Amino acid sequence: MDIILKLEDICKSFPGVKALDHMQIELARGEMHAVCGENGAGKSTLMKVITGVYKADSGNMYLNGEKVTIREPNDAYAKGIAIIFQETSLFKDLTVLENIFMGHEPVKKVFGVIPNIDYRAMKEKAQQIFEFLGIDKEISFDAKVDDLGVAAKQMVEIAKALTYDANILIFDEPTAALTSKDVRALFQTIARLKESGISMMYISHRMEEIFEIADRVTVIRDGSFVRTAAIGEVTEKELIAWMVGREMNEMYPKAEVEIGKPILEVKNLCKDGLLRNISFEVRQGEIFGVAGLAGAGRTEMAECLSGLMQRDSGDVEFYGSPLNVKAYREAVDAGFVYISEDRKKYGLSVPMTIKENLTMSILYKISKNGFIDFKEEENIVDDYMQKLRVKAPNREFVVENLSGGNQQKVLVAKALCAKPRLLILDEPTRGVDVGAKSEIHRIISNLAKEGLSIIMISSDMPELLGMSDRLMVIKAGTKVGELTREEFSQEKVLEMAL
Amino acid sequence: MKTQKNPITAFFTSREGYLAIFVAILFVVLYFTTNLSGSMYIFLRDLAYLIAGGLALMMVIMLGEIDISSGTVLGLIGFVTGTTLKMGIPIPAVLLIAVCVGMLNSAIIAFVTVRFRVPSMIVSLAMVKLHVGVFPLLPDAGWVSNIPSSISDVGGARLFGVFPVILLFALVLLIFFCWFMKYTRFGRKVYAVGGNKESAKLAGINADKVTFLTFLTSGALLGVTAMMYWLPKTQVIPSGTIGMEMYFLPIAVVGGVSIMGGTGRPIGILVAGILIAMLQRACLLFGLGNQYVYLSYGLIVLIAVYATVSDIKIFKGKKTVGGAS
Repeated sequence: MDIILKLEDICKSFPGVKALDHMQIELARGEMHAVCGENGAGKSTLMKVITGVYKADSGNMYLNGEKVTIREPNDAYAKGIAIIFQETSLFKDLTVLENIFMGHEPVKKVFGVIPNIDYRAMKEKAQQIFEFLGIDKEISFDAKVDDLGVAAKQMVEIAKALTYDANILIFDEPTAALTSKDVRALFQTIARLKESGISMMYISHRMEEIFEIADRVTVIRDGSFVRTAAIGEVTEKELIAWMVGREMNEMYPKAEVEIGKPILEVKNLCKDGLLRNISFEVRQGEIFGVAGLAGAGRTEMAECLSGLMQRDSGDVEFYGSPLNVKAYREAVDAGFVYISEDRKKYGLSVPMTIKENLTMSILYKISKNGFIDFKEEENIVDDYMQKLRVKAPNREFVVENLSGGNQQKVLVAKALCAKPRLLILDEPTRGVDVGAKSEIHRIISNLAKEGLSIIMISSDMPELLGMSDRLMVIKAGTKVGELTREEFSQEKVLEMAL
Repeated sequence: MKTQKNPITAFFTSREGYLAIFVAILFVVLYFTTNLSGSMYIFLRDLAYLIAGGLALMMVIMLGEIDISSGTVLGLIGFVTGTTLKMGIPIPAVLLIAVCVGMLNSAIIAFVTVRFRVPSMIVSLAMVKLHVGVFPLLPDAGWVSNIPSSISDVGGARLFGVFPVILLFALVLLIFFCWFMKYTRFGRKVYAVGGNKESAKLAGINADKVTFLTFLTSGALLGVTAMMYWLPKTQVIPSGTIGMEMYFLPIAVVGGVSIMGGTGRPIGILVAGILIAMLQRACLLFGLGNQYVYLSYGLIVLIAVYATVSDIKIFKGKKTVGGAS
């Protein structure tokens, strides 16, 4: 096999996380190579290392058999490697033509000295590329990128990659935001690129896509290489097994809880373009898991329920009465508390102290005539810090300086201060180390034992399976199914979610 | 669906075009209801420095940055140029000195902004206070009086009895920047960095370098602005420039430069510059005080900002091309 690009022993760490651990991958000339793995397995990091956005801590990269180092995006472009990003990286205020040549416009010298951008050469080259991609009739060079649809933006991204005369193209989940019709058009373009001898890497979650267009597939798990296989020699089941491949351990202390009667009933929850007809119920003391890929609509569902986003239609009944909240404040007053997946953005005010963060949402309860009752505030704070075992020198400690796990505990404590009857946890252990993870699981388990109902949204499959009593799987805004604890298996959930 | 618009239609259906039509109507109304023709020369002379200053602010605002010291720095430059002119140094050399002082001021702002990640708003605000604090410490509080009329006559030179020569320079500058922003890689990079810094980095653009160089360009323009402002005058009073950034800022914003960065065209500066210069004149000609000048500026900026952030149909024809949105 004629190998065009080869990576060996690539390691890359971020503070507290090992994103890539001795990862390897090889790309044959003219092949379509799929890269798959779970959420957070390190796929995107690997692609960013290849394209020079991140610099690998160690490891070697060979292009056409020669060792190369890529320090920054320009190096990658110069060597003919280009990437089509997941979120398009276009400049929305500029035109299509200006976008695709940004930073490497063809220049013609006027009077032999003054460098002048050669718009005519740009148009000629763009015309060739657009004709090749078959989009010359659909997209005008002078259209503002902001006015283009998602699919058209993606085509512009591909055209941009081709302006660098790239012979290696990397697609980072290109179909995530496309409709099925646009996906077909994209696949036709990809076929055309392949015919012209361009080698491609393709990151995707979607199994059917991988089996349709890829020649080989490499599986990555927890930043490490699992294996590479030709697509004809592997089944979907095998691929999923390689992606999961972990064992359950003592991470999930699940307490036996008497589960009561239903307290939350959701019927036909709809939100235009995001959610379609989602129905489920949650019982007293139950941990109700919500599984699905990133972008499937899990967070949006939680936001629609808690009033952070207005739903289009659907009935929500909470403790026997309808819950129609216009603002999150009303949801909190009803005992319906949501903990965001993005701790630093929507959860905590990190430059403030633990005490200030904890009582932020209940200040009206602990103050008289506008003055805060400090004695009561301190009692509450001490109480919850002890209960959740927040490891901090004192209650006046600034949250920013706590570890991820302790920050998460503060966030949970803040939610508990509001005396919830139902708690929605969105990715409760994201960015938390293993030790803190099991501690947070213990807290969740204890809360359920005390009769609190919990909806847990998570991308961490073992966590979901280990902690939930029941599980709902969401795919592209619709509910695919529900599993009881007896029916749980990672393979089953992944199969439903993909 | 490829449509090649005629450049003239394209202009008059753009934001700058609508503004130009409005400005033209206002001009005609003023011309026939007041004695605008009598003060035409002053109107055109003021337009010169407003265009140069507007361009200077356009550059930094396009990056998503700001330079509040663009008013008071003119006072500082004025002191330097006034003094050197009185010493008999030829005008081209003084212009060079003015450009250098302007660049130095902007270089300080850019360095602190880029190196220490301090917002340029804060840095330039500090510079304003430094300038205002320095004025009284200068000899004669920075006042330079009795500049020979042989020099101020050069600044006041006119063609055909009414057209100021410095406006000619301003227009040359404007044309240069129209070319510069569209036909040089550097010009495109300014749009890129202002539009989306992260994407610019992914496109292999050194955002910090672009920021620094753009500030330098803006500083050089402020040097030219100061020359255009002071050269026709026989006296330099630095403290008179306090608040002058509030002429340039509206010009940039009204001219279509988004305060978030990434958009704007030099041609908008011309149109907005005429508008601001005309409002100044109009309030004087109608016998209204300075308070009305400021009131009208305030209202115009509010309208301009609203037009930028909202989807007013007339300014922003939304259409989707090719595929779902």
